[in-house]
Amino acid sequence: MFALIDCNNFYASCELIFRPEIAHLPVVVLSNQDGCVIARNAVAKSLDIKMGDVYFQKQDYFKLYNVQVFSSNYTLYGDISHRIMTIISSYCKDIEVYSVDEAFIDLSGQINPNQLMEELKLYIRQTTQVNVSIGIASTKVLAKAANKIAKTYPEQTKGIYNIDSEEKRLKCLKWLKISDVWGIGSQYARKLNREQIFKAIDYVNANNEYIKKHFSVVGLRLKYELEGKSVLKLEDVKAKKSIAVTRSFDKNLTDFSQLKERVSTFASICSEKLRKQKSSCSAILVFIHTNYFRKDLPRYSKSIIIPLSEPNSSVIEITKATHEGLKLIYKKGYAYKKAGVIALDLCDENVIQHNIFEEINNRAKQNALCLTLDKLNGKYGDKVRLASQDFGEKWKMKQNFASPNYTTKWNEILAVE
Amino acid sequence: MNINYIKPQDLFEGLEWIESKDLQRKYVNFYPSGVSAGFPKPTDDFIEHKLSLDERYAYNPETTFFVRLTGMSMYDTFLENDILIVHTDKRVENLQVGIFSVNGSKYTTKRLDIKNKLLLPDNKLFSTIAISETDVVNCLGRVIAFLRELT
Repeated sequence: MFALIDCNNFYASCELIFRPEIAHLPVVVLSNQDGCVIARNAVAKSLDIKMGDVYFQKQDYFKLYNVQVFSSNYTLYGDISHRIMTIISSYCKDIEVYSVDEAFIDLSGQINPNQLMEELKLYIRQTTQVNVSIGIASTKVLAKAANKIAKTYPEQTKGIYNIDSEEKRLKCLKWLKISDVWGIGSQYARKLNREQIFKAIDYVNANNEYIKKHFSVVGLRLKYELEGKSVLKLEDVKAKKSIAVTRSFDKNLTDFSQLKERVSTFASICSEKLRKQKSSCSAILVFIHTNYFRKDLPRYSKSIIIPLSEPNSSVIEITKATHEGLKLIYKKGYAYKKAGVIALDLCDENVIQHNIFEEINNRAKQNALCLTLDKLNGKYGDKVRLASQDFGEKWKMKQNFASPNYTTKWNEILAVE
Repeated sequence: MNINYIKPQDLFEGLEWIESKDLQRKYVNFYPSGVSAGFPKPTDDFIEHKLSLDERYAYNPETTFFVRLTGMSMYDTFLENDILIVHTDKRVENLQVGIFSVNGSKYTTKRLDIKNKLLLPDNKLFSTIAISETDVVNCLGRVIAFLRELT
């Protein structure tokens, strides 16, 4: 038996933990660069504020209804998420942290899962002020569906729904849109709709051969799961398979040297993250693109993968590869809005097979240099950089409505009378 | 050097912000004099953990918050700028101090009087909050200790 625990309006809930005085007002959280709405509390939803609403277009409307606007504070959300996941893991044998605000748990062997989940829900609410919805079922796909029922009908379900009978399973499948089934992307949903499959029940009623032919074994597995036969197990949380540093710029960049300076900074953050988790990467992906939403400007986007001669976390090697990549994809005459550097194909630092042609000496020197860099930056703040990196504040993320880091910075903890 | 191009749309659909997680820490026993055979240092049998404030005041980090006190309503139990250690997993029992929000107010530090249904300030110059049946009281947690830096 599985349960899916999902935090309600997670980012907005995090912003309200320390601000009960604004809980009755509409609350929204904006994306990086304060671009668009990525989270809303119930009041904001009732005002017909949508996910993806563009902030600067809705500014007046927000003011009119006294909407409380927050820039995304990922430090806070990360900490609260970690707290909640720790609490959940103390309630079960096995947990799969599926995303920042969702976790699957294994409830097999539990005599009274409903009661246990009620306790857990209450405990999370008491200790973190965050409300969760919980779906319980015999398979992960059904648990996800049960969770959707709990979320959609909070009053009837009190936030917990257990598909514990054949009758409930069929009722759920008749209700559940195929596009809302876990694992069915919008592309597949359209394809299925063309085949007259609209609800989960239609999918289950289709014959196995047909599903396998059109949607492969993965589609068939999904069918079994909807039928209540568990085939998907909890997955281990693995070390990060890739590390990405990507940003939108607050103004468009046209100049190669400006772009180069930006991606150098991304490369150095990437390399620092790699060293922190003691990984190396074997290739670097660089991408740049213009603003998708500016239909009036010429559009261009390009990415490139530069393999490294051997797995590496050296800031020098990564920056070198990044520059090389940028040089190859950069085109004059475009206004670039976003760029990023992604370290691909990560592996453990200790299991790297060294290229026999590379000078070991050189590598040892670079490693020592990188560690010194990290140490200095830890000690003095981010002050020591390669010459190609930028120094000023000019590229900082736009975050005009950031809340304090209540749980991670001593000088930002909540002030209480 | 090999260069592989990939289609941009493949890239952007799957692209998302990834934060690197903290390394998993593992605690192991440390034997300063090594583990080789021979006559052991007699003190090795008496190695204990060092005293840790976390262990005593934040033993459940996932249910511990720190807040800074402002105002004088809890004088002289607390002074302005004291850092209160709040345990959110503990119920506030009679006459213990907690952080409360009444009917969606800002959080306030008060002593709970369960018998008389009151939230009491320790400073008598401040007013008491009476709690009726219809009031909604939200409790962030119980104040279990405080830190005060001496100047």
